[in-house]
Amino acid sequence: MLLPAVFSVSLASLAYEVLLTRTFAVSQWNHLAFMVISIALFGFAASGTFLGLLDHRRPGWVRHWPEPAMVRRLVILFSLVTLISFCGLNRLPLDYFRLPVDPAQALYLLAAYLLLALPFFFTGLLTSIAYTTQTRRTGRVYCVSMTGSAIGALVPGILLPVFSTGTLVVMYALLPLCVCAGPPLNRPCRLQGYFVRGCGLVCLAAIGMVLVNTAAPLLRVRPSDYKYMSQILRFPHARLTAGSHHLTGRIDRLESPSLRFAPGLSLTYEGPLPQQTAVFKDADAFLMLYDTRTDWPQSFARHTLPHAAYVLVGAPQTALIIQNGGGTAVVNALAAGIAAPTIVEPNPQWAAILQDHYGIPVTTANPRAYLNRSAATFDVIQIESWGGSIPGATALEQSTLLTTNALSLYLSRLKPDGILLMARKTLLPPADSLRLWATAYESLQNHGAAEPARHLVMIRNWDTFALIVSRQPLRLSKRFTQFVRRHNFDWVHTATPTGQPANHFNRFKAPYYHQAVTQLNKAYAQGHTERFFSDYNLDVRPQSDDRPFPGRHMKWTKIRAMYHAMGSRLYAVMLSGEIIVAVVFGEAVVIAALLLLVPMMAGRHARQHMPWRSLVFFLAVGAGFILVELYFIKQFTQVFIEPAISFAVVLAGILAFSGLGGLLSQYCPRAALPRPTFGAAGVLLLIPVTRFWWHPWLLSLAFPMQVAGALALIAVPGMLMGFPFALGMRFAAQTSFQRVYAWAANGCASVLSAVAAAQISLAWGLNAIMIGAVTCYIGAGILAAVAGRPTAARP
Amino acid sequence: MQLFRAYITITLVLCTLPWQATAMNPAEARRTMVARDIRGRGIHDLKVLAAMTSVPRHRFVPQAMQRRAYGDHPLPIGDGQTISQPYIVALMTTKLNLTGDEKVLEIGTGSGYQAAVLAHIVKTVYTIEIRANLHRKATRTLQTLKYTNIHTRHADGYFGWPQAGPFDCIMITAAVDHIPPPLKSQLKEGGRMILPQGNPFSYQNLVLVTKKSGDYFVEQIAGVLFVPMTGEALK
Repeated sequence: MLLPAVFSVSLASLAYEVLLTRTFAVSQWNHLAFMVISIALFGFAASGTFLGLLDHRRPGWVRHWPEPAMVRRLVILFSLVTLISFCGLNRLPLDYFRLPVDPAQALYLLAAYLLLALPFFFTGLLTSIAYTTQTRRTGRVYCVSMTGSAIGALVPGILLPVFSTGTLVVMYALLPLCVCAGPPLNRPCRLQGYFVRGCGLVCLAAIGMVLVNTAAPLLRVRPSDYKYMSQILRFPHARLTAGSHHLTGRIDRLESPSLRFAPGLSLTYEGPLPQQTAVFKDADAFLMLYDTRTDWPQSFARHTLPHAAYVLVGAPQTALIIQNGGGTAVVNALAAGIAAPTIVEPNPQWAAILQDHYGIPVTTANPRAYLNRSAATFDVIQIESWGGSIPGATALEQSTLLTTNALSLYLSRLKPDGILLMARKTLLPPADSLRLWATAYESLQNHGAAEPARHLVMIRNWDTFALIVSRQPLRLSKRFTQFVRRHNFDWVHTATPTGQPANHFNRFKAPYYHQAVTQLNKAYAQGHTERFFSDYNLDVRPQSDDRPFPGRHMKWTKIRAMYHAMGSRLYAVMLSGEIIVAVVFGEAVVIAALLLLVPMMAGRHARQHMPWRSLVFFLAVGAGFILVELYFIKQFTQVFIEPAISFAVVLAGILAFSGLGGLLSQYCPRAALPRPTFGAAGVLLLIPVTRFWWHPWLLSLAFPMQVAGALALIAVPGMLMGFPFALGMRFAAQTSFQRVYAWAANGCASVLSAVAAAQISLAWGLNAIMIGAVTCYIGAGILAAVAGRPTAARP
Repeated sequence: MQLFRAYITITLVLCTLPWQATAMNPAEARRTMVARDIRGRGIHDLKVLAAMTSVPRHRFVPQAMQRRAYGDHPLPIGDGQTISQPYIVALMTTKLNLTGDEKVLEIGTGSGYQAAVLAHIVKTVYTIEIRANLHRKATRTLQTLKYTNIHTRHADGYFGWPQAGPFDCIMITAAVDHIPPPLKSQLKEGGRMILPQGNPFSYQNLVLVTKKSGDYFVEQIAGVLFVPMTGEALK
């Protein structure tokens, strides 16, 4: 009964983790999702610590706990706490943004940690019991656990369009109860067993339906009050007209007379705005659809900053819109007289809605993959990317659409006099504007431009800037300079004198934007860019695909200056995702230390201690595994664009392949332990080295083939990564205490490395994550090689 | 037991102190607020200071919140809305550079407190609220307090109040990603408009727009932070 229980709770808990990320994406912000889920995963490690302490007090637990009655109890507890955890979370008045000003929020946060850790605790308990009591079959236990988890990673994505998140949580919470639904099938009367089991399943389904119906308010995921959709819904006559759930996000269609999205609109425009409909993703990112039945959209769009690109080209015939939320780019193209712009939207739901609304074909694809496959060139390429609705909310996100590699690709798809345009919100101090300018500068250098600054123009109004990039040195027509003047826009950068001072219409206390770009330009001209980037208060260095354009700009060395620059308020600094990562890491270190030290300190006998070599081995294997997972998730996000798809593919793939590796490890002798560990390190090292080959290859494939290609790429390393832990549990841990302790150590290392990977990725790039993983596996291999003689495992 | 009783008594007394301080003597609480949170933070416009000292802020917040009315923070007023913190009210009013003869349009009446402060300084205040419930409550409060130079209206402020315009000054109390075009046409030549920029729950700037010869000049007043006030706090 134990292995089916491990399989089902592994499946249910991973599905629950996926559903939690979906829930938090709607009800909170990515910071909090990251913070709470990371800490909740300590539940796995806590189960090892708990069993370690139990081992001190009642060594006989190893005989009693694997018995069916106890397994049943644990499975029932898992189901119960999963339901309580989810419902409790939905009712908890946790408000992340009020953490610095409301002490009660710290208590709510603690409650969220505890609530969410409980299901993982019971999953860890059952798995740990299996490893400790089935010492000669650790490969099978590993395989069962990993296969269950792999299915758990995959299935929610398939079922989300059919069932709501709350319904799915109920389904997954009750699923493991199937194991307890009847007597074991190997009883003498199998028919009776099947009958009782069938009745049990019917009862479970009935309980599930009753729960879903009666506890509907508790299961409903409510969007955060801070999210843009929640704000609009507070206005009269605002109503949600359609909604659906997908792995890539919850989609809501909202209609309201109060929807008025017109970023970059000139102050001199006094006409009306068209009727708008918003399509929200996870209640915040939105796509605005304009009513084009009147000529309003065109007239308003001609008065926005992005229209500058079309004015500069003169008579544009073709335009490529890389849609990434927003929605003004399409009306900009229509207003410029381009009846059928080429639109590429990675999100399939948004793409379908966009196509249906405007009657223009919309390609659903990764924009870079699309451009790799297409040879078409354009007069205007517009990247629509306005960022999150709250500064700092997207600090943990990284965009591959704004790297030097991406901009080089866009430039190569421009007609000789074509224009590349990016518009975003202005922020003080200037951050993403500077990084974009530098990215464009370096991309132009890569294209052989002798004086890249002459190919660039930046203009702004009071809350938006637009960066214009051309393959040719830009000559500003009179029509263009008049457009800027007439609409009361300001020049931030132009190589051609315009006669209009910077900071003329839209005045900061000083011309901050103009000064910063001028200094950066001067730094490039004089070869002092390194000094500029290190002296500047924010991280504005241009980035390649290895460290995709991060949403964060904070520098630890300049944090004091930033604190003062933002009004000396702790709240402002808390908006930085990096701070949250650091706080979570600090918390994780403390929790990990407690979980690992308590059972060690409580041990009275020699058998209740863990040799340091074994401890480090399990820490290294746990950390290495998670770092590889995160490396692949981030790499494949560049292919699939949607992190959720990358997450599902990588998790399902790696877990399934490593499960297979675990099963094969069953046939390996003790001496084999170092070989697959070193093998994993060697194969993993090849992944970043050969990226130049496989990344463009994956991009060139259609979506199903991309998934197959990604799985093929992770098959061998995944399988090899399945050996070390399964073999280690069989040979490197000798006693029941050591096995549960190894489980705790592995769990702690997994959480710590997951949090560290977020920081590594933001600060040093993706390759650094893989270097960390390879180092872990080499270290584990060395420890396995020099570890003690083969000894028979005993419980 | 005696120790326990003493503890309970002290706790009860301490809990009731702030309430007594504001409820018993709101005028004094106001003077303290102006000295500490307005003048103390660099606002020296005498008209604004006098108005802030006169307007009974506690009358504009729900009964349950009155004891916190004179703290420098926003407070929930229902319908998911807040009354701005006193410093922001003072700052926005000061930046309009009012002389006393103006006709001012306020978009977003909310509690009516900002309109009351303006009414102490200028000739006439026109204020629009989109939420019917808030409009009713604010109108009642302003009438009770005998503000005869304030005109309230239940409508979508985006379109302004064309029949009453043009205005010398316009104050928008909600953050927007563009300045509503209809409001600009209701602004007098040389008129001023002030509004917050950015998400209402995060880092914000104030933006002062001046209309001169058909052109618009925007001055950005950086570094205003609004304390987050939503979620449970708004229920």
